[in-house]
Amino acid sequence: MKSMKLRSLIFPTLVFALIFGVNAPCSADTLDAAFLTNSSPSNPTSSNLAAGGTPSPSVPVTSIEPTPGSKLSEALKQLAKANEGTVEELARLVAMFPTYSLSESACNGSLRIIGSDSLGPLLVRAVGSYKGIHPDAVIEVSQRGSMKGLDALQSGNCEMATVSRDLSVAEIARIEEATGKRVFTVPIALGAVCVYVNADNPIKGLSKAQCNGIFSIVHSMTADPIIRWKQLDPASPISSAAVLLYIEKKLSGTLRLFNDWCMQGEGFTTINLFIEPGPSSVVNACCAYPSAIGVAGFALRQPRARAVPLSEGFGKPFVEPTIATIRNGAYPMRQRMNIVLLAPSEEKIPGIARDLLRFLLSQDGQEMVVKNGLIPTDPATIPAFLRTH
Amino acid sequence: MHSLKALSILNQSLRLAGALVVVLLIPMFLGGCASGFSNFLKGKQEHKASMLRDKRMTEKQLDDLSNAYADRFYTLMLSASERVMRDNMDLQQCRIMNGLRLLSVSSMYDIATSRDTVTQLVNQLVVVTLDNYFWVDSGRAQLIWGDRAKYLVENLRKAREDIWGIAAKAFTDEQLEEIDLSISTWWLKAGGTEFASYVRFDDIAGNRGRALIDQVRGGAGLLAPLDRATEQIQSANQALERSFFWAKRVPLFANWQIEALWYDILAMPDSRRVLENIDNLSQAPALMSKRMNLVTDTVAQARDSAKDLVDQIFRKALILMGALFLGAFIVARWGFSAKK
Repeated sequence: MKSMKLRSLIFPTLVFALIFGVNAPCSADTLDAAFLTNSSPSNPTSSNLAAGGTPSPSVPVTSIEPTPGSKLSEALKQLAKANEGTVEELARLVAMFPTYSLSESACNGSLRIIGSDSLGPLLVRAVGSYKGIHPDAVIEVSQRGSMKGLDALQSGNCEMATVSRDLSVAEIARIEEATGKRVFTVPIALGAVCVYVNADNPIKGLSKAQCNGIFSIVHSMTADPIIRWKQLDPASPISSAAVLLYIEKKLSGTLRLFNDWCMQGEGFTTINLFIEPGPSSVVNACCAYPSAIGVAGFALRQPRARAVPLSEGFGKPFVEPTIATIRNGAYPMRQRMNIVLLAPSEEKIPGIARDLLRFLLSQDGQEMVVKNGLIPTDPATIPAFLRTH
Repeated sequence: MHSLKALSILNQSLRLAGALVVVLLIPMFLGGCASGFSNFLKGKQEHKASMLRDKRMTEKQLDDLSNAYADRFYTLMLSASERVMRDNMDLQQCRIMNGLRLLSVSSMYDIATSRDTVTQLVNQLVVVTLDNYFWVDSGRAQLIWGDRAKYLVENLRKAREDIWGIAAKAFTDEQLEEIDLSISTWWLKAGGTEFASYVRFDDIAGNRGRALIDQVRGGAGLLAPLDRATEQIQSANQALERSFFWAKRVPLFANWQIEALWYDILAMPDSRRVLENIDNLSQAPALMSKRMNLVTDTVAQARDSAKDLVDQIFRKALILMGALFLGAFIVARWGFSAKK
C-alpha cells in the first residue's frame, strides 16, 4: 500500500521537473531579451509572438527625447507651444456662441445626413456627442461628397446634406423647383483653400495669374507655363529647381474651389504633377520637399508647410490665410461649410433636425468645429428659427 | 467547231461552278471567321474577367507585401540614420536618431508579425503617416538635426508614399480617404505632440476602424474575401512563417539596442559633466578617446553582465534538473524494491 502511494508520486514529480526544467531556460531567454532590448520583458518586440501576434502598447525604455534641461529640449517645448496663441483666439470665438440647452420639442426620431468629406469627421463626432444627450435619436452620417449630398437631398434619400461651399442661386432654384420645398442653408463652420509650399521657400506670395500659370494646362492667364521657381522669384535659393505640384486624387470640394478661383474650368497640367491619396499627403509633400507646392484645406496646415499669401490680381495686396482674414472674407478662397435641408416652411423643419443644428451652433458644437481644424462661423449668421425653441 | 463550243460551254460552266463555290464559301468563311472572332472575343473577355479576378489581391500576397514593406522601412531608416549619424559629434543628435530608428523599426516588425494581415497593413499605414506628422510636418526633425534632417525627411516621405501605394491595392479610394481623415483628425485631437510609433489604428479609429477592417476582409475592398475555414488554415500557416520572419530580423537591429544603451549612459548627468568639462579645443582628441573608452567599457560591462546572467540561470537550471531526476530515480527504485 505504501509502495503504491510512493509510486503515485513519480508522475507528478516528473511533470513538475519537466515544467520547471523547460521554464528555466525560457525565463533566461526572456531576461536576455529584456537585457538586449533595454526594456522590461513585456516590451512589444518580445511579447508580440508570444501573445499570438497582438501588438503590445508598451514602449521600450529608450527615449527619443533630448535630455531634460538641454537647449534642444527647451526649443522642442517652444515648438509644441507654437500654436497656443491660435488656440486662445479660437476659444474666444467659441465663447461667443450660445450654450446648448435641452429642447422641449421631441428630439427622438431619425435623420440621414449625406455630403461633404471635409465635414465628415466633424459631423461624426458631433452626432456621437448629440446621441449621448439624446440616446433615442437615430442619426446616420455618410461622406460621399457635396454634390452627391445635394443629389440625395433632392431625391429624398436624406434629410440633410453637408456642402463645403455656398450653393449657387441656380442650384437652389433647381432643388426648390424639383421638390416643391424651400431650401434652408445653415453655415456651421468656415475653412479655406490654401496653396502650400515648404517652410524654407522664401516666396512672398502668389497672384491668381501665377497660380493659373503653375497649375493650369492651358495657363490662360500667363504667356508661358510656370515650371521653375526662378520664373516666380529669380533670387530664390531654389530658383533652378522645378516646381513640383501636388494635388489630391479626386476633384474634392477644395480642388473645385481652387479651380473656380484661378483656373475657371481648365484642367490641371501634367508636368511635374504628383497625385496624392489625400489632402494630408499633399501637405506632407510640401513639408518634405523644398520645391513642392500643393493645394489643400486650411485645417491641414503644419509648421513645415507655409500657406502662401494670395492676391486677386496684379498690383492687389497679398492676403495671408489666417483666422481673421478667413472670417472677414479678405482671403480669396474662403470656404463656408453649410448644412442644407428642405422643408415647406421654417415651422415645418423637423424637431430633431432643428435641435441638431442648435447643438452644432452652440459652444459645444463649435468647440468640435475647432477640434476638427475648422474655424467657427459668425454667430450673427445663425438663422432666426434656431435662436428660439 | 462543236467541240470548241462544247469546251467553251464547259469552261463557262466551270467558271460558274467556281463562282458558285466562291459565293457559297465566302459566307461560310466569313461565318467561320465571325464565329472564330466571337470565340476570340469571348476568350479575351473571359481572360479579362479572370485577370480582374486575379487582380483582387489575396491575403497571402498582402501578407508578403507587408513583410517586404517592413524590410523596406528598415532599409530606409538604416540609410537615413547612417547618413545623419556619420561623423556626427553631437551626442544628442546621435542618441535621438538611434532611439528613433530602434523604436520605429521594431514597431514596424512588431506590426508585420502581428496576427491579422489587414490590420497589419492599416497599422503600418497609421504608424508611417504619424511618423511623418511627428518628425517631418511638425519641423521637429529640422530642429533636432538641422541640415542633416533632410535624409530622414526624404526617407520618411518615401516610406509614406510606398505604404499608401500598397494600401491602394487593398482599399478603395473612399476607404483610404476615411483612414486618412481618421489619422489627421486624431493627430489634431492629440495636439500634434505624441510620438506615434506605438499608436495603432484601433486607438485612432475605434469601432469605425474595426468595422472598416471587417468590411475589407469581407471583400468590400480590393482584397479577395476569405471564408472562415480558409482563414483559420492560413492563420495557422502564417503564425509559423511570422515567427521565422521575426527571428531572422531581430539581429538586424539588436546592435541598435546596445548603441541605445551607450547613448543613454553617455547622456546621464555624470557622463555629461565629464564630457562638458572638457571645453578646450586642444583637448578634443582626449575627449574622443574618453568617449571611446567609456563606450568600450560600457559594452564590455554589458557583455559580461549578460554572459554572467545567462550562465547563472543555466547553471541553476541544470542543478535543479539533475536533483529532480535523481530524486525521481530514487523514488522509482524505492517503489520497485518495495514491490519486490
